[in-house]
Amino acid sequence: MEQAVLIVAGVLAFGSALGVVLMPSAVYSAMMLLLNLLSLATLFLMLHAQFMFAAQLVVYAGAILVLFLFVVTLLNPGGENILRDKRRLLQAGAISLGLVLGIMLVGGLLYVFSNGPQPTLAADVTAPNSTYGTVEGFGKALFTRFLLPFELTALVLLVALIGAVVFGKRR
Amino acid sequence: MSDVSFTLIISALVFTVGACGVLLRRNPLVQFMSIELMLNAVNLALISFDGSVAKDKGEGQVFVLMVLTIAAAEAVVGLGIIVAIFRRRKRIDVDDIKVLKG
Amino acid sequence: MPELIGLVVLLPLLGFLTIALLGPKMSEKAAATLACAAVGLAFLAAVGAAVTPLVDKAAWPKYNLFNYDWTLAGSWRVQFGLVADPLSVTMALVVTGVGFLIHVYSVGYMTEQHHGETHFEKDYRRFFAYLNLFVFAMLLLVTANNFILLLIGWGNVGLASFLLIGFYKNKPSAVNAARKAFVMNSIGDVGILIGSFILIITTGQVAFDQVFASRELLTNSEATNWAALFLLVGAVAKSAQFPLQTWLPDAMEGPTPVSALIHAATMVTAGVYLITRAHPIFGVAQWAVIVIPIIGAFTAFYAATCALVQTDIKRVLAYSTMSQLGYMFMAAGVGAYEAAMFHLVTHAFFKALLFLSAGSVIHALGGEQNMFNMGGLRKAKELRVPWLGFLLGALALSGIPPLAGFFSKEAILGTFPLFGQTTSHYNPIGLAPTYLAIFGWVGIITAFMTAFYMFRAYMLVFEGPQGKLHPHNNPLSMNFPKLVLTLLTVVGGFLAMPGFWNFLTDWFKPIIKEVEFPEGGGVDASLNALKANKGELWYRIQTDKFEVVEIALGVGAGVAGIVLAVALYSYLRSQQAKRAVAVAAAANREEIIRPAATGTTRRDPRTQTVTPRAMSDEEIRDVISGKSEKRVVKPGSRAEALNYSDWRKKQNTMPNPGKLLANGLRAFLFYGWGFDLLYNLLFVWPAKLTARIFSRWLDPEVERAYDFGLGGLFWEGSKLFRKTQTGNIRNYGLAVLLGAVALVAYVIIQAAVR
Repeated sequence: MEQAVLIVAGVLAFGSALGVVLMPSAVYSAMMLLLNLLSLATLFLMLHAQFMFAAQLVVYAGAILVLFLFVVTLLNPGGENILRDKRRLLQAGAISLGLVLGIMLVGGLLYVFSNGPQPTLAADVTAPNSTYGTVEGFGKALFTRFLLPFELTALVLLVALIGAVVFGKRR
Repeated sequence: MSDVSFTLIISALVFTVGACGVLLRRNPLVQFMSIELMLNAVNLALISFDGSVAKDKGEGQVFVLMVLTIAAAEAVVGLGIIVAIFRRRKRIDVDDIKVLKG
Repeated sequence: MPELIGLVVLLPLLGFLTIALLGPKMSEKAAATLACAAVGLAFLAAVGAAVTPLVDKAAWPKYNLFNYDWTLAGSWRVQFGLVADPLSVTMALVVTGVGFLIHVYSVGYMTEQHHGETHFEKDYRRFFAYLNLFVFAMLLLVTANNFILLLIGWGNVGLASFLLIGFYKNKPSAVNAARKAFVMNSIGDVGILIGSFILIITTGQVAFDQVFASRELLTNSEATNWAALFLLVGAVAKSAQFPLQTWLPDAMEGPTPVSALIHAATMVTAGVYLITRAHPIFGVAQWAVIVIPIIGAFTAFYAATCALVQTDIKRVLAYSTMSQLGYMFMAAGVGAYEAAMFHLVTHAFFKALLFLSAGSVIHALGGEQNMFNMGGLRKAKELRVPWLGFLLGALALSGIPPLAGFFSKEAILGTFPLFGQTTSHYNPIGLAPTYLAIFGWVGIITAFMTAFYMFRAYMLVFEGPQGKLHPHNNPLSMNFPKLVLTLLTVVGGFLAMPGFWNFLTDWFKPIIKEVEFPEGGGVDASLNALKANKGELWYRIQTDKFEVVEIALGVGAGVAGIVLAVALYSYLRSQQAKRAVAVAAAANREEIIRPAATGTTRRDPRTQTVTPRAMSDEEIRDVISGKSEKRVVKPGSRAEALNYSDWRKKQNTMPNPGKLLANGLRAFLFYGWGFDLLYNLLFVWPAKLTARIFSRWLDPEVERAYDFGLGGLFWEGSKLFRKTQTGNIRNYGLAVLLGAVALVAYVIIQAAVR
């Protein structure tokens, strides 16, 4: 059962990623991105990262994607046919480089996996009463060892907020 | 094939697709979405490694949170820039914007 | 509550930030009140923090507070935190206590009273913001529990000092003095930086307690010696000791409260604090530590000689500060940290008092600082409090019992065996007692000179014929701090009475005791001795039979100096008064004795007395309107004749060699033994010369080569490379992807090859 969910979610993630790139309209792309985020969240859950699953849903699907959709509907850009690109050379280069990158990455991974022990989830992660990935375990790491970096992210967000206000101002 | 190796391969594929998306699309909004795809792929890889081979379990997830934060900040600023450009030009196509041409 | 130490540091910072950010929105009064309140509350918090070590003396490691992670790099961990042990708390009490009094004093000093209206000096709020910044930085320095935080405080103290010396930013001399102080202090900062780096590399730690407890200090004596030497460079620069002493007299260009707070009571003591704080390092450093008492003794003597001939009242006090810091270095250098700290505290009281009194006098006289233009101010009703403060401060500085200076100076002099007798004093260098005796005798000679120059200043300012006096009352805000400091000067010495009770020894004991040296370190004899009486770096002031002799010598030197100064300057003043009366009488009678030769230039540059005939119209106008200091003698009067013939006589006779020598010596001392000239000769002029040579001959050639060679290359090259800058982000993105692919390929190839 779990194996099936994993494979379905993985295939959906790949397919929806292709969809984001290939859909002619930005609204469709955003919808595909939503699908992609949901399937990735499922994969997070499969990997016992429960808090990240929730964070993925809330932050990405809930906040960032809504922002995207808002801007898409605000600007209402027309459809775009990637087959009618004037920059043929660039398109060809991008596709070929992408293929090379994908083959190298996937091929490399498959080579490693077939020639050695495959990585699996650690025992203390899969143990039934493990705090791994829960709010408790995650919060402990975040608020003890990584307190300063965590607080600095607040600063980053503040700067981004100020930046957005500045850009949004009518001049 | 184990679950972690499967997610790692998915991560590699999504990353590649995202990278191509940035280059193939002319709509900056979709380019941004492609960048989000790449960031998400990295997140997936981080979580996969965190649960399997990492020495200190849980630290990869903290890193994912940082990526999430940066992604949110980047989306806010980036979309702000796009809206600002749209106000001036009434059209968004990255090929139109080449003031920096040397 | 030791946790209050956090508040002690934070309050002045808050005060500074508030005034700095909201300054223009606040009234002058609000800014001053806020600044005073911040430091006053910090003082109360410091009192609160002082209670716990008082009750539980042995627990100072527990007072390492607020430890936060700063840097985590693998196994290396830097924490930053504050320490509230007796040493830090003492320094915090002095800084906030004296600092508060000087803040209050500044409220009055930086204003002018005109017809019942209060006029604030320009940049009044900026002044208080800087003062608060200084107090914050100094508190950070003395409460830091590791070398990095200490360095931050150290640098900020230098910055605040720079800002305050150069407070009158339109006055070139002030700006130059500020720059000089900053450069000199920067040399010290670099010293501390290098010293800390050596310690971090050697011990792998930054926190004081961990560094001092690490065994590498003992085993790697080379590194320890270098570290001690570089830390000493920092201490020497901040405490204005030889050879980095030249900035302190110039720093008197700042407002007088600044001189009192920074350049007398607190900042310059940072060097003594550092040596006391880092005493385990200095204690085990073999050859570096011997430098400290030598520097201290030399500076004490040097500065005292310079103070003998100064004409500016503030420069006298500046040189005196330098000299007293030399005493502290002398004591700290031979392990008498308690005596050094004791003198630091009492010196803060009476030197601040002296400066504030001098400031009141300067303020009352409308900015006059030359002592030879003062006189007879004892009789002025407005200056009673400054008079009392200055007199008591001078007596304390001369070491007259029972004032504070007596006890602390005797504590230092008592450290050195004057007659070469063996002592049980901690003697880290293993010096023979005979050599230690030299320091003691230098101290006694300096004590004599100290008493002499202080009472020279006193006689010139307060006794003799009355000079001009600006009718100017000192407001309460200026008198109140002086009264408090007067009280402290009188009673402050009873903190430690040699032979009877010694509160300070008990107070500081736990800090020194706590330092435990690990077993099996170096093999030097003195180190073994150190280990034998583990941690007993402490000693009591001896009460053997020579003690009485030492006290008698110390006090005798002070009394002798006072008597000599009073006798000499009352004689000189009375002579001067007589001459003034005679001249005035002669001028009133208007005896017409025309000099034989007329029409030539009749100017005596020495006395600046000029007859109108020899002056241009502009000069006469200046004299009448008061712009010029020159004294006008009625033409044809007897005074003019006397003056003129005097001058002629001086012109015609050959200079007396004895007088020439005396004048030369005076100039030598007046300019601080010519160290400024020496440094100019050694560093400034060669640098300027090199710069001129480069700008005159080398630069144009290089420029030409640059223009036609490199410039041409880049011009042509850029034509090629600008083609890549299409401005299209998708092209740039493609390049990034290409880079990513190349990186992945590189990793895969690496793995395949292996």
